[in-house]
Amino acid sequence: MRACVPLFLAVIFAGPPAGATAPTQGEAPCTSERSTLGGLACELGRAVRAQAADAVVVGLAPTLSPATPLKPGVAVALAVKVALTLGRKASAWPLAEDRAHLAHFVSPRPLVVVTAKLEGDALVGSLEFFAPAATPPTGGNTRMDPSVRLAAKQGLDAEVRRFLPPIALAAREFVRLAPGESDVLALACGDLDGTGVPVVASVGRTFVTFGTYRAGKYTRISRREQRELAPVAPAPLREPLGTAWITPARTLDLGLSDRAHAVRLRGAQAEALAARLPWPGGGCVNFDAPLVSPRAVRCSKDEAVVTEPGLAEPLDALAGATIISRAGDARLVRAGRLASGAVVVTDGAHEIRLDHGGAQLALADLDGDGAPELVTSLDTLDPRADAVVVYSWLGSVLNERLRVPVPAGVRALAVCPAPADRMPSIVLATSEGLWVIR
Amino acid sequence: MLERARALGRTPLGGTLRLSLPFAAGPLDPHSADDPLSALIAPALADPLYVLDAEKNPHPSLAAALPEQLANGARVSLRAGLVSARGRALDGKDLLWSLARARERGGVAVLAELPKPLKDPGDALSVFFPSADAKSVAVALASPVTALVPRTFDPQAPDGTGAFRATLSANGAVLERNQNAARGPAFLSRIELALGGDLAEALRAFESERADVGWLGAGLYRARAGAVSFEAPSIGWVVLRTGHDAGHWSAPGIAAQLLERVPRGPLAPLGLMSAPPSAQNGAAWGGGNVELVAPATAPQLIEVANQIAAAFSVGGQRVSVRALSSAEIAERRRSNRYALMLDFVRALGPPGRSTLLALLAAANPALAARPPNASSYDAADIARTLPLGVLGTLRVAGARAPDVRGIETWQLGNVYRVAP
Repeated sequence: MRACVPLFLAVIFAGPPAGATAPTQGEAPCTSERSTLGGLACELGRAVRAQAADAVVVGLAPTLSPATPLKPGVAVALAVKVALTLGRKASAWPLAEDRAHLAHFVSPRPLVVVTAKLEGDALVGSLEFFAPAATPPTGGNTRMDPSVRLAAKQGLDAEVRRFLPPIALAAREFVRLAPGESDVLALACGDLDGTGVPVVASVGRTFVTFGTYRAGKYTRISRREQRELAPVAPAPLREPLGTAWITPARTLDLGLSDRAHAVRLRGAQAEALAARLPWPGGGCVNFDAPLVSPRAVRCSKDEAVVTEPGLAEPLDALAGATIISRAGDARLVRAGRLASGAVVVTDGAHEIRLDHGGAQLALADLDGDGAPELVTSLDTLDPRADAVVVYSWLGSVLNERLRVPVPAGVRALAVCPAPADRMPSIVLATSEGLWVIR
Repeated sequence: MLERARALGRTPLGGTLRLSLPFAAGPLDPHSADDPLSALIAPALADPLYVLDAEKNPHPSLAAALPEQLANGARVSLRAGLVSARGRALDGKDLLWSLARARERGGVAVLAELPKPLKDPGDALSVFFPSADAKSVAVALASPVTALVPRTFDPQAPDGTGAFRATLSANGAVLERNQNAARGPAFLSRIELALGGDLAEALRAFESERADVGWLGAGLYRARAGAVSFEAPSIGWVVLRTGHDAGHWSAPGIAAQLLERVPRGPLAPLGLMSAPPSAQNGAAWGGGNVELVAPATAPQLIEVANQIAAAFSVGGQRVSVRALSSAEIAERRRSNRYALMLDFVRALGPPGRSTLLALLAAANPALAARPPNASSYDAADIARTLPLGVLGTLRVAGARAPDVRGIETWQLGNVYRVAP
């Protein structure tokens, strides 16, 4: 299960970073910015806010080519968000410019130039800061080299996808990645280590196994034993369940009903959480045996409780994700499966119900339209009859968009970060190993 | 915990299972090795510390880990936080008490070879087996007759860490989901157990849809519509003991030879599964007019006893069946004051060495402390050197209502209904 996670990959100072400034103390970290453009603007804007508070921010249009299909508007959108980050005295230039025009830019105010381009499956935002001209322009290039140049990278979301060709929600391949573990109860997929390469975490009853998923290939990299992470629960569930997700802070939060508490893995460090299961997307839950309580609680005492959107009835499967609209607004969407097999999806303002869904759930925006997709297995006890089904929550209906039979049975599933040109991969744990729908 | 389907859908929760069994209502004791009702029901109420996988390798269940092998013995530690169905916190003292209690009852079969455990002064959750091998300790503590119970345990109000909590009554028992279950609460909310009837009543109850499981069949007069046959692992053996009052006929091996002449055909409907007799090697009863005593608490065994008595009543001799209470049977067994006794011996684990230990302890608990090397673990072969003969295994089989699932293993915690 995976939230639509902003992924900061790099901040590069081309010139001396002396001009760059640290975030103000007490300010929320940029990882709390959930949209791609918001996150990039936060990271870039904060770095120059001290000297660029009254800057004019100009978006540099990306070069249009088949390889870089980004529309120019993305630069303006990024410029607006950077200007908002800089403060009330900053302003954004309403048109995407080219570099030749910038040479003639005349203003006593500092100039911030931002660009956006696709790099692999991520959006790279770059910022150049130009101090105000000391003397009036007399023609030619009056601006010197930028005093600060930096860049940041994030995964794609629906707001960025407005500036990209649409993608189809279709499965081109269903292939096995690895033999996999025999007892996987939860999967998570995301950029766990900041390299931009998705990591698949397979949470089994005995081990947590990590592998990279790059260019369609899975490579196992490490594993941890469950017994070193958490003690056995005094009263587990007879049929175990687990949840896991990779958080915006690049931790793996995981929990199993077999274990006394959930765990947060940050690199090699394991932190015991104050609840039994993480709820992907934010918050944690405890058990209301033999089901899961629908009331979200805080995962640790020093973090805010994420109670909304709430569900009312006890659950036996959970999913959640932050979904970014095409306008860049973030909303936490949660899904839970009731004991009857019905799956309830809610964003707090609205709720929708699938009469019967399997016990493996994930939420993500698979087609980049800003509306959530619910990914489920089927409500069957016969593995041969199982399938992965994708529904789009559009208005007041759940539309089935994709169905892939999985005769080995789906034991766990997760959605990986979105690539630029196609649907995100859905990884599955089955009795025959780790598979991917892409 | 359930090893079957994970994911897909999930096992449905809730619902009630109604069982009508041909056994008298009575105490449920996980440490008993001679009570078929306890063998059937007690594993749902109390758990052993370890479980064996298909390869007979032990894995921790109530234990925190496999036994720790030390230079001078083996240490066993309980999982932290265990609480019984009636809310009693369990620690090393409960474990010592449980093992001592088991050793005085059916658990002696698997515990006799081990030294008595001691309290671990350094850890309230641990006990120590001096000079013991860790693997042997784990295997012994995987037997259901060594289950952990609280020090306040009373078989009339049984308590443990199992999937259910039992409340006994004069004509049955109600098993309710144990929210503290150490291996997970049951899928079913409740099992209603009707006891006291005979085999015919058990079948009639299923046929008339007053029960959800047909004991040894799908109905008394006709098969219930939609009934699905099942066969679960056997819970033990029906044995014929020869005692002091049989005189020379109580010698080891005689009982086994006598049983060779008992026709097997009439026994099959009574739930006994046994190899065909070999008439050439059998012996006819020649001990005169005697009683064949059998437990009144198991009408099924009384019916089996009647078949045996008929087979033994040859040559002017009369063997008559006498049903005795559990206490009388236990006293006769202890004092050896009987001629013939039909009895039940509980299986203590998967077939193999545990078969040998179970039958040795049934014959004489002291034998289980020094078991011989056996060339065969076949129950009938083992019994040829003992004053008891194995008539067959007691089947757990019959038919289930179509919406009852998971009963094939007779692990009641794993049973569920698809339409509760």
